[in-house]
Amino acid sequence: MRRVVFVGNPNTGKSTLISALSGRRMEVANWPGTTVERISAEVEAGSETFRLVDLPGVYDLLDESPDAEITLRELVENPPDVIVNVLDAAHLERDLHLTLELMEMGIPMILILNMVDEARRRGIEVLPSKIEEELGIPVVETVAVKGEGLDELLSAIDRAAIPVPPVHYGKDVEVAIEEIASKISHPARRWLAVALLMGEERDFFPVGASLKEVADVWRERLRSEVGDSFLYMEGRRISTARGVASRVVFRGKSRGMIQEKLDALLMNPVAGPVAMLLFLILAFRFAFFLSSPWVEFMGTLSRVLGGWLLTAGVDGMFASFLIEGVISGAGTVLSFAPVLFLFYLVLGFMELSGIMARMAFVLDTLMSFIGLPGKSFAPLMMAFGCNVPAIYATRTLENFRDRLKVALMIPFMSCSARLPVLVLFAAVFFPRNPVPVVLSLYLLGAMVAFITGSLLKKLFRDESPSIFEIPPYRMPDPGLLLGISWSRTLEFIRGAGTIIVAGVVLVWFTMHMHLYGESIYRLVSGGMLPLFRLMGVDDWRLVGALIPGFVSKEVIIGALAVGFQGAEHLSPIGFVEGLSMIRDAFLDAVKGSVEAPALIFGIPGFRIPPVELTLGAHLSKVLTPAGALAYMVFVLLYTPCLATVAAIKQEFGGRWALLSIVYQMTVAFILAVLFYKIAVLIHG
Amino acid sequence: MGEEDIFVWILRALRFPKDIDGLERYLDFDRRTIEWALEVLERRGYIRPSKCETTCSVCPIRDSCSFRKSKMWEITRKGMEYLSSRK
Ligand SMILES: Nc1nc2c(ncn2[C@@H]2O[C@H](COP(=O)(O)OP(=O)(O)OP(=O)(O)O)[C@@H](O)[C@H]2O)c(=O)[nH]1
Repeated sequence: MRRVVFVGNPNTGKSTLISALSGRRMEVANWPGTTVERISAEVEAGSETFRLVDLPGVYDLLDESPDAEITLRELVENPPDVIVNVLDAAHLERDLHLTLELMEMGIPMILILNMVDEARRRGIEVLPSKIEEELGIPVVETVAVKGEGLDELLSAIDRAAIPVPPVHYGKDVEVAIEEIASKISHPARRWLAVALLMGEERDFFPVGASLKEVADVWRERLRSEVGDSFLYMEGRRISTARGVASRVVFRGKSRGMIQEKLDALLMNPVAGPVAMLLFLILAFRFAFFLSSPWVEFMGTLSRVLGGWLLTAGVDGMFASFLIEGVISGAGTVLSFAPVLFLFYLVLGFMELSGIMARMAFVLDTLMSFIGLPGKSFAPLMMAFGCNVPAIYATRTLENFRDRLKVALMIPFMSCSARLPVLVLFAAVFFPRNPVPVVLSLYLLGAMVAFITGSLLKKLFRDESPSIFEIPPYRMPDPGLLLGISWSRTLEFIRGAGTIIVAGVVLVWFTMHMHLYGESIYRLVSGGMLPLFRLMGVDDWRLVGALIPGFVSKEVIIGALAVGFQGAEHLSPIGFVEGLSMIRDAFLDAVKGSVEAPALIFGIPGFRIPPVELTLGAHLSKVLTPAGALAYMVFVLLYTPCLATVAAIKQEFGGRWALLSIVYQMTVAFILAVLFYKIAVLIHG
Repeated sequence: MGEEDIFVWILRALRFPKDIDGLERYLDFDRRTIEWALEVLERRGYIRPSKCETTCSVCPIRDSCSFRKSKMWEITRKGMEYLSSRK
């Protein structure tokens, strides 16, 4: 009578199979000395009787569980005539891990693909003939609960053959296995040799102490090549199981087809980058257009708050401090919030959906020229919208040096806040071709960024090769996506908020505190003037506007207007009036958001409001085109805003934040002077 | 050196603490296989259970967070050393 044992992962249907094969006539007992149930039965097939035994379900024979110990002990101490390895067809890759291990046991074996009903329901098709071809042992499909495939199972037992070990562990390791196995006289000699090399021992292993020592010597000798031999061997088994599964399992057609089509496009070396670029531009424009109405809403909110303060009778310096210092500072912080939140949503979507991984793959060669992984493309692109979320987005990079490198590049990418300044100056000083001028400046920013990247590449030598895990496409869980974006936004407000408010308040103080009858603001601007004369900028008001511009670029035009045309004063606002202003602003913002998707495909316009045209007239009196060009270059390249600095500090520490400021200032100054001198040389 | 395998992928992923759901999103492996690999890695000292830095009551993502319900993991120094030896 042949002994046939059923081995498999837990819950693959071993007991159900034995029950069905025996017509429910099973003997139930406990494994000696344990409370683990032992099911067995005698079954007649043709002229032969089989004793079927159910071994406890295990994932890996070397697991440290009582079940695994019973199963392993039984296989080693009491080798059966045949192993029936039961697999769940819906989880083939997982279950094949054990199969590959069992195939090293030197015992005749067959495979049972059970639960094929369940697998089919989930759109998973497994080809038994392909597995037979791959592994060289009989494979039978069954549905144990319906009794399907039982006769085939019994007749396959007759065809059971000792398998050829399927996992190859690499040349040197195989030599070691060979040598150790040759000293073991047990059918499972290969499996035992591998276990010894992995550093695993059990008291019931039929091997002597001297052989264990031989294995220890080999393990030490192989350490430099394979590291932890346990992880190495198990890793090879899992990778082999994955490879086999990938060739024999077919997933439901509809989903697979769409995924494949999408991958064929996105992973194509030419079409991929183009598609990714388009996707990024559209996604970030979406975030930008959807958030900008809310930035305006935030502006109205702080204006109304200021107006209410005035109405409430808060007066003099203190009102000015509260309104222009604190409230406008807080407003600056809050106006970043919608932008950040939406950019984070886009970024989170890309990460969780699997798009980011593909982009990283496709852009890797391109980015490797500046020593950066493909993933860094997204933060750099995002920087054209706003530098702040771009800095935080460097978190998607795994390597600290890569993150730092990208974070130092980002501030040179011209963000949307710099555009109005560039547009105004281009329109005033280069009226015949403002568009090429602005575009060239954008290009200049990108070039400086890339040169920075290449320089840092030389500085940070060690480069780890990129490794790609391409996950399947997934629809991100909306709750998770919103949660992550929200928490990242809060993190910014908490971390950068104080720095920004402090910055705005400080600027307020310089404007309102006087020394020798002059405001500190004026004194500082005047003091810096000699430096700026080198780039043809010879008016303290132009220099002065760069100070609040350090806090945020949005305010440069405002500061210039105040300097040249005088301040626009806040007026008191009644409570009801204020409420209706807020309501109108809110409705406008909602309307703007609804219209946003339509704007995504539009081309940014070059409209200049009339107020700024009068400002332009003032400017043209104090600047030459060469000086204007230098001023634009400086605005383009110097520290983008305090929020960016705060973000760099949060992510990389104060030292790097300071260093980045110094670097940006130096680069901006040198290039602005250079451009001025060249322009003067060419145009006299 | 040797090719990439599930352990290297998990260790790399766990440089930022994750729970099993997070890992499942990150790796294209069966959940049970990941659980098994985590067991192996913890037993051998490459990873350890990890705790959140803030308490849940003040956490902004507590409603959508799955960490609270399941165990989180992070890489140990031994794990980091193993990772860099595999580069
Ligand atoms: N749909 C479906 N369910 C099945 C099939 N075979 C078994 N099951 C169910 O799967 C569950 C597990 O079956 P068991 O026979 O207890 O699995 P086992 O491998 O003996 O489990 P352990 O003893 O824990 O190792 C039971 O609820 C069965 O009814 C099948 O072919 N199709």
